[in-house]
Amino acid sequence: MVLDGPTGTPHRGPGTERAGASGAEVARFSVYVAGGAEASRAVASFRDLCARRLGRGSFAITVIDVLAERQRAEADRIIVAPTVVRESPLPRRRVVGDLTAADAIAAALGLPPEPAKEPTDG
Amino acid sequence: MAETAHPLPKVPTGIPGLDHLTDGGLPEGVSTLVAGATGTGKTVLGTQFLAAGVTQHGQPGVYVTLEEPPAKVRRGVAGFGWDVAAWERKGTWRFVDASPHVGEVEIVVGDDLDFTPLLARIAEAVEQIGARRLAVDSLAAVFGRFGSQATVRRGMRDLIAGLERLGVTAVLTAERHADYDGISTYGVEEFVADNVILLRNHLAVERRRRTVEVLKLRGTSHRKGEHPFTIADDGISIFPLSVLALQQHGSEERVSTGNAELDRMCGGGLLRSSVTLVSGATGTGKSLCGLQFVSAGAAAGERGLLVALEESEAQLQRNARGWGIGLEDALTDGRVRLIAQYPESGSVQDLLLQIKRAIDEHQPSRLVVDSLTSLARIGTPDTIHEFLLGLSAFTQDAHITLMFSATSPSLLGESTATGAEASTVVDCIFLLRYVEAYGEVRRGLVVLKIRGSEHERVIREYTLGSGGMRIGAPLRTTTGILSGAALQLTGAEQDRIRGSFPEDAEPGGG
Repeated sequence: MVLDGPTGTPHRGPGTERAGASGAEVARFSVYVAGGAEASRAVASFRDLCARRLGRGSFAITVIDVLAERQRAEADRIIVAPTVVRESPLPRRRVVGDLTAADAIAAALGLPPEPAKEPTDG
Repeated sequence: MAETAHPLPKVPTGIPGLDHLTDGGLPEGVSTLVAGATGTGKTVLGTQFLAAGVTQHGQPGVYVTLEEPPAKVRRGVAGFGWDVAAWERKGTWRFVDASPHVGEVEIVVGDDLDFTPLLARIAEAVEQIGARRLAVDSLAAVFGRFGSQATVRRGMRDLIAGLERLGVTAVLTAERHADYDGISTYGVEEFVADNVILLRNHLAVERRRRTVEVLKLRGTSHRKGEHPFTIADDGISIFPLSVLALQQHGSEERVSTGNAELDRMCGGGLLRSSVTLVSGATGTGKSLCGLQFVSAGAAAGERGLLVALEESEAQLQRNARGWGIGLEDALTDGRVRLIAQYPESGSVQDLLLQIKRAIDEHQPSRLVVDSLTSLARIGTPDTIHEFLLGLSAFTQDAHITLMFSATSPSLLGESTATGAEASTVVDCIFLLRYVEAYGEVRRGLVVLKIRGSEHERVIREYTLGSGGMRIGAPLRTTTGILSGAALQLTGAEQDRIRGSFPEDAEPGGG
């Protein structure tokens, strides 16, 4: 398992976590990729999208390379790459396809609209 | 399809009948598409291909389920006696669970889908258990889930190409909308164009009639056309309608009909492994012919199987006693096995399977089916024709001499295609006819069409009584018996006809 996120928080678990100035729940995503440069671009694009929509520190992304972690791919029944699973907030949501299609991905994962300016600092 | 310079080796499927249709099995190391509408038995075929690999060929198998969760597949096939969970524990069966997550929203964005994870998981499973066989059920589920746009299709094409690199022999199932539509919904066949098997499920005379057709098999030989099959409690059984020509009529050995005079009329008895049709109206003694045939076998220590579709066991025994045929002993000590049931208890194919099993268990050398006509109540001419072809395929394989009866010649008459084809199966016909002669109804018998043997061609009068069938003198003064419109001949006409057909003038054996 590779933990990755703007916060660098090495934490992953079923529980919720409060972070960020807005006090919102941390949104957790698992991104399953099949290695390669294209996958890196897709992940970078998705991370950028989350940062813009959710604000830095309000989300955590776990990237799983299914070629390196086949057991994990098996357990999570992944058949297509890339696959994004929104682990929290519940209910789980699953999106497959083109992660660079920002608006469509955001809508599919239920991400809030992009704030006009920097996130509020309370 | 035509060039077959280097035919691929084939993997025996172990599915009864399929290896015969495919002339040895499925092409090794590549994928075969099995397409059929809902309920045609695709999943059973795929599962059975793996199960037979595990149980008969010591070949582990991987089952990729794209539709139903493994638990449901395990339960679904447990009824066939396949303990998948046990095989999983032993490491001879592995699921790759690619079924959808129930209750979870899944959204497809864009059209750039890469099925590498699925292929990687399959490769992992294949490697872990050393699988030689693979089943993917069903491809349609992928398109149902992710759409059927060009990129998804390309993804599936890559996946299938990837499977071939794994070197496993695979069965891929796909949906069809209708039995005689294109090969498959979503045009899956364009990915696995080389090897295609179609399954169909018709309704005929309110019965299910399942058929399998090997459409193509990568330029290798296979049987053409639709062949019936059933799904019984041990899975799919296919009844190939054709047997290898080499196996036919190999025997010159004669077996007794149970009637010495009838044996003489046939040139010394019936050829072993041959097929004899006894045709006649009710009361002409068709059942008697069958009984005396089986009973003569039993007397010679040969096992017999008697399939009585028009009489109960009690009626049959009563009739046998009335004709002086003692069947009780042979039934008691097991030389003769009896299947006595009315055909309405199942389909034509069920009956065929039942007979096949009885043959396998009992290993008879004589088989009587009385009568084919009763099957008309539950089957179409096509299904009866298939029954006969399937039956004769079994009996020739097992060197069984088959005798079956039919009430009406029209059932097998030249007027129908069915009859014309059935007559190619039949080696010998006993025609039993009522003959009206000078105000009296008498019975006449003639032997037609004994392949490869001399036989008597005159019509002989016979009587039925407590001694069974007693064959008497030729009925020389009557003509038109075969057509059912008997006509008396005057002396002058007899002489003229005798002169025209000298061979008819000699009663054989006498």
